[in-house]
Parts: sequence; structure tokens; C-alpha cells
Amino acid sequence: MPVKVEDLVYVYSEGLPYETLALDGVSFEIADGEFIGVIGRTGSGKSTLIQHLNGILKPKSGRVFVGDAEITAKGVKLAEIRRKIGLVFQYPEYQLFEETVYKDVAFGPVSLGLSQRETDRRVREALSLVGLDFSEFSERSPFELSGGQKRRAAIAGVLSMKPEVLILDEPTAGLDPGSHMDILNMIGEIRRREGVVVILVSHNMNDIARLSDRIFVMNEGKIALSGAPAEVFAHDEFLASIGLRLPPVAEMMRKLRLRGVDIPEGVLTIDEAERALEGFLRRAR
Amino acid sequence: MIRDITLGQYYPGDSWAHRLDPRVKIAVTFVYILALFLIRDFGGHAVAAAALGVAVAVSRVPPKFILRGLKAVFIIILFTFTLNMLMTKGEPLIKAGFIVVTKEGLYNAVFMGLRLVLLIVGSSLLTLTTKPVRLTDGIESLLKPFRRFGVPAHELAMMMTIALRFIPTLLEETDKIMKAQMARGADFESGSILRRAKNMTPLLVPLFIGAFRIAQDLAMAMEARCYRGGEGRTSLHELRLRKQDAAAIFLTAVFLSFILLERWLSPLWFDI
Amino acid sequence: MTNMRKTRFWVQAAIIAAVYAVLTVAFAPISYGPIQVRISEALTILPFFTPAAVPGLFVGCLTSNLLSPYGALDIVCGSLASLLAAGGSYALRGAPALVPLPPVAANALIIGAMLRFAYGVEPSFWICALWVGAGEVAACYVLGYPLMLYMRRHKDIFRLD
Repeated sequence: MPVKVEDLVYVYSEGLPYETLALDGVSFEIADGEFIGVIGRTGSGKSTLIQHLNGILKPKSGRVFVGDAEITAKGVKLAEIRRKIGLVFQYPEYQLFEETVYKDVAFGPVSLGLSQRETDRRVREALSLVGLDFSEFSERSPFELSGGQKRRAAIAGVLSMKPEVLILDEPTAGLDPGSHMDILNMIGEIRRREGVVVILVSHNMNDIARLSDRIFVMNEGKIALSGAPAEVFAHDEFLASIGLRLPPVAEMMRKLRLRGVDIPEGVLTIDEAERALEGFLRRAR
Repeated sequence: MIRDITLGQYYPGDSWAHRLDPRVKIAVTFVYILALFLIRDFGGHAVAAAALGVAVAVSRVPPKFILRGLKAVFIIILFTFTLNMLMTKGEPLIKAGFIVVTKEGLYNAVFMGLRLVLLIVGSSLLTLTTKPVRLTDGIESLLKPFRRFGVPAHELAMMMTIALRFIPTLLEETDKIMKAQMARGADFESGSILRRAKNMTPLLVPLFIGAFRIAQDLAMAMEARCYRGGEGRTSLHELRLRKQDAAAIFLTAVFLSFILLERWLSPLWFDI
Repeated sequence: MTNMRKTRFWVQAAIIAAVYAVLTVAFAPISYGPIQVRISEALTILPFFTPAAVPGLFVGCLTSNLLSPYGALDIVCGSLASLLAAGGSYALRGAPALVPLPPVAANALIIGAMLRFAYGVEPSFWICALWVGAGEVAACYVLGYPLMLYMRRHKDIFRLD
């Protein structure tokens, strides 16, 4: 399901003394099945932008298209939008409220008015996608789970709606390194199995570099830069000027290059770095 | 959405009224309200209105702001006015089918309406010129003498301070929860009151759990800083009465005496 | 009570007050005036779980009214009603079905009286009381009772130790 955004403008607290221009004319297109990474300093407009994609916020001006449907048009049924676009907020485990994990994950399908059979099918699917064993977890209270498990349960609650676009806002925030990797791998898995468009908002450059097909760099309510990870991270000076850092590997490669080490551009992951350094060492002999 | 709610009524300023001791302001407001209920006729209202006018001028709060506060309450004023006008029995003035407006009804409506306006503007002056934190200081101080009767003055004031501090935080939390649940298909907006009430659970339960988590962390933080309750506790800003407070008290006494005087003398002027 | 328990008690009360105020303010248009349906009144079931809710709801009501343009009269009457209601609910905590009853009664009578005598709303005290009572029933029983049933599973967040 492709997504298109035309000239979005959004103002917080309009008319009041502290009004802020959060989105200043944002436009982009996302093709079906793409994995988009969104990066930007706090306050650059990332969260505001993604909330426009599932209709939670209505722009002051501009249009948003999901597939063929224009969600910013008048009289659009929000329920339909929310079925198609799944938004996982930061610290999603804080939205858990039901008595059992099963019921909480079922909340979405039930709200959509699906049959009990269909709901059951979706709950099982969603729990399997997030790696929570059905027999072990479905009847437990969500509040008994560990932090990482809670988060997965919360994500399952969004997946059970079977969205065609999955937006995740800092899904690994506050997790230990182990859980962090788990969640990231889980996202990759979901993308692979379901073929959905994934939009990942994160401060973790490593994650973004690894998973994204394309990156949007946000600054002061606009998309300042966009492109494939290798392209985007080549603009290290610009990124630094707007308060963003490179992925640690890219940073290291950059510093090596400054010292005259012959390393190609666009090395972003550890594996690529390993190969590049091997190559350099061989040539240097 | 929820972010756009402005909290409280405080209008920043440095007027004489702003600088008065909050205890004095609270007491003056009480006397004013009491006076309003002692008034029996429009002469009294005139006195009260004059006093209010002086107070508003002194506070240097723009009348536009005060009127905005009235706008919010406009419905209830209109409601009261209409009910009074239509439902008081007496000598009929206007007849339009079922609807009868009596002379007494009109009088009552105007009288009550006026009192309501004076009441609301007068008491908003208190919150307009006093920061909530100062108000809690004032309340704590005023309640202190009642400690011997078991009123936990310090604790109540501390509660208010904590509550005021956390209201913005919890508002944001509520906003986040609402949005997250809406993203899952929850519906807080449509349906009958009964339906909407039932739909509140996905909002209330996480909000509670989140709020109590905050409470636990806060209690621990306070303990870690040696909080031991109100005994022997000093304050960063001590309340002290000054000359202007004495002046305010004196003027209020004058006002009250005028009100009483007017009420006593009024049979001479009014015939109704 | 030990110091720690005492601190926890009052902080819990403070947070209950904050949540009450937040729910009142967040749903502001319907929270004030003669046609009150305060979502926050659902919280009146809290005394079932913890005595900290008694000062908590009192201060919550106090603070909500401070933040509103309706003025001092609402502050005194509303808060008083909340205090009595919370006390009553706490006393009735042995019978869950009766817990939402004191707020309905207290608010109907006290706010009803305020509307009749202070705001001059005609025609009679009993109609005002009924009017307020109806709004309270909606909030307290319809919203509060299910909330109470839910929260029973999470009783431990109210623990003081």
C-alpha cells in the first residue's frame, strides 16, 4: 500500500501565544513494501508527521493519501484508516489494559467488529509474529510480563489489526541490548512475512542504517534530506549541523578516511566494515 | 487536541493586587461573596459593582480577559436568567401563548443574573491575580490554626502542590494513551453518553496505572531527600503581611459596612 | 504509620487529586456548570481501594474548581460534597455495589442546594437535586462501577509498602 503526502502543514496551539509550526510543507511518496527510516532531532516534527498518517492529527493544509484513499478529505471514516495504518507509539506497553494478553491483543479486531473466529485467528497470528508463545502467554495478565514481553504484547495489539502500513515510533526505547535486538529482528521478520510498508522513527542510527531502504531526515518541520542510507550518511557535516550523528560504524570509517585510510564510502554496517577493512589491510601489504 | 488546553486562570502581572498576600486575598474574596448574599436590592448591587470595578482596575487585568472568563459561564447565566424569568409566579407582563413573563419574574431574573455575574467575576479575580502555588501556601497558612482539630493543613497543601505540578504531565499521558488506543480502534467520540462511558476503560485503566507508578517513584524520591512531613518544615517563600495587606483589609471592611448600610437604609429608597 | 507509609499515603492522595483534575480539565466542556457530567466522578469508586482517595478526591475537586472560571462558590460546595462522598464511599467499602451511592447522594443534595439557593435556579430544590443526581448516576455507576471491577485485578498498585 503506497503512501503519498502533499504539502503538509501543521501548527500546534494555533492562535495562542505559544503556537508552534510543527510541519512546514512536508511532501513525499512511499512505494509499496518500502522500509522507510525517519530520523531527526527531538522537535523536528517526526512524531507530528507520523500522527498525520493515520488520521490522529488533521493538517492545517495539505493532503495525505494511503493507497487510493485520501484520508484528509472530508467525511472520511477514521475506522477504515486505522485498520490500514498501524501506529505503534513510544513505550506502547503503557497502553495495555485488559485482563489477559489475549483480550488486549483482541481489542483491535473487536473494535473493528470482526467475528470471534476471525479475531481468534488474528490474535494467534499476531502473537506468533511477535514471538510470544500462545499457550504460555495468552491467558496471563499483561502486567505480569517483563518489559520486553509487554512491549511485544503491545505491538501484537497493533498487528492484530492487520495493517498495510506499520509505523513504529522508537520501538526499542528503554530496552536492554538483548531485547533491543529481538525487537529489531522481529520488525525485519514482520516486514519479510507480511510485505507491509514499514516506517521506523528512531534515534538509533545503526538500526536505521541496517533496515531502511530509504531515509527521511527531518529538521524544523521539513524533510531536509532523503535517499538511500549510504547517500544520506555521506552528508556527515550537514547531519552534524542539525544535531544528528552518524551510525557508529560510519563514524569510525569517516575518521579513518580523514587519516588517509583508503576505505570506500557507504560503509554502514559492521559486516561491511569488516570486509572494507580486510580489503584495505590486504592492499596495504 | 489536549495539548491546547490552558490551565488555570492566572494572568501574569505585577499589580498591587498581584502582590497582596494570598491569605488576605482569599479572605477578601470570602467577605465579598458573603456580602453578595446579603444584598437585597439593586442598590446593594451598585455598591458591589463599584467595589468590583475598583478591584479590577487595580489588578490591571485587561477587561477582555475577564469577559472571556464570563463567556465560558455565559450558558449558565443565560440558563438561570431564562428559568427565573419564565417560572416565577406573579403579575403577568408579557403573554405569548404558553409562555408567561411576570413582573416578578423579570425582576428576579435580572437580580439573580446580576448577582451571578458579580459572583463569578469577583471570584475569578482571585485566581487571576494569584499563582496556584501561592494559593496553596495561603490555604495552608489559613488552615494551620485548625491543626489542633485534626485538619492536616500541611499535607493538604502539599497535596495540592504536587497535584498542580503533575497535572500537565498527566495531561500529556492522557493524550498519549488516547491516541494510542484510538490507533487501535477505540472510539472516544461518538455514541450516547452510556456508550462513551463504557469506552473509557481503555483510557482510564492505563492512566491509573501510569499515575500510580509516578506516585511510587515520587514518594521514594521524597523519602530519599529526607522528607519527614510538615513538622518543623521551613519554606522558601515565607508569607508576610505588609502595609498593602493592611490597606486591603481596611478597604474591605469599609466595603462591607457600605453594603450593610445600604441594606439597612434601603427601605427608604426602594418601593418594590 | 511509619514515615515511609505516611509519605506514600499522601503522595498517592496527591496523584489521585491530579488524575481527577486532569480528567475534569481534559473533558472541560461537560465538566462544569448546571449540566455536569464529570468523567472524573468515576474516580469516586477509589475509596473502595484506598483511604488515600478520601483526601485525594477532596483536593482533586478543589483543584479542578480552582482551575475553572466558575468561581469560589463551586470550590467550597463541590469540594465539600466530594469530601463527604468519599468518606461515605470509604465507609461503605464492604458492599461494592453501594460504593458509588454516596457521591450520587452528596452531590445531588449539596450541589442541588447550591444551584437552587445560590444560583437561583428555579423551580425547586428537589428538581435541581434530581438533575445533578442524574448526571452523577451516569458518571458514578455507569463509568465508575465497571472501572472498579477492572481495578480489582490491580489492587496492588494501591499498596503503601
